[in-house]
Amino acid sequence: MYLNLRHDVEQGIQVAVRRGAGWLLGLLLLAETVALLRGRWAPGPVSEPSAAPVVGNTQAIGQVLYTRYLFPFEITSILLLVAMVGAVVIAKGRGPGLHPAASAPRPATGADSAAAQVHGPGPDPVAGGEA
Amino acid sequence: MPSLSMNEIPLSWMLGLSAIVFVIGVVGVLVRRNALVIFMSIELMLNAGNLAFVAFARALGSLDGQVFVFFVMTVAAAEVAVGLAIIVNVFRLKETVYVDEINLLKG
Repeated sequence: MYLNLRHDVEQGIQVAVRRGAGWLLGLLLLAETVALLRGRWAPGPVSEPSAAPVVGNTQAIGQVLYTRYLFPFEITSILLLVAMVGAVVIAKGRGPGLHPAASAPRPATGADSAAAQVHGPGPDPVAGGEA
Repeated sequence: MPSLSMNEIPLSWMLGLSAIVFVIGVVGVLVRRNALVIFMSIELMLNAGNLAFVAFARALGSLDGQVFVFFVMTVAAAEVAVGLAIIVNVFRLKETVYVDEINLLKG
């Protein structure tokens, strides 16, 4: 639907059966949840207005987040780092056209290294542009 | 029906909204075949859980639920990043994102 326009038609008895099963399960879950809520939370607990907070909500959350939940906060940063690296590695692909470092010719011969010495250290701007 | 101010909305209404959003997410995961729509439905379920967290935190006068919502959102962000990368790879491989045409673990 979003990425290709060819397979938009759905057909077959299996799709219809699974759709019906999905709707049935969903409605069953909704009925179950409604029953739970009606049995337990029908009037809703009367929450008396709590005392006026001495600090704002944002400040209170920040204080709790950086004192009591400091360790989960740091673990969260590691989780985000791992997810970012994983997403980049997974989505990078392995095709030869998608990997410029593998497809670029490497300066292995003596002439190439001599030319590199003539041009001086550092990456050649033309080669860098090609890569 | 008298109009309710923000402090008078009962907890059961918030939990009912959370349950409805969660059921919409479940039905979306079970019914739809597009992997992207399934991901959106998973996000709906996570946000329904967030709404329940915030509602209970407000009813109980505690901040722990609101802090937990941050962690749920973080995990959702990580999951979406990795999942979209997987979907991109699957589309490169099979030219489709429909989950019932992806029936092999081996690429």
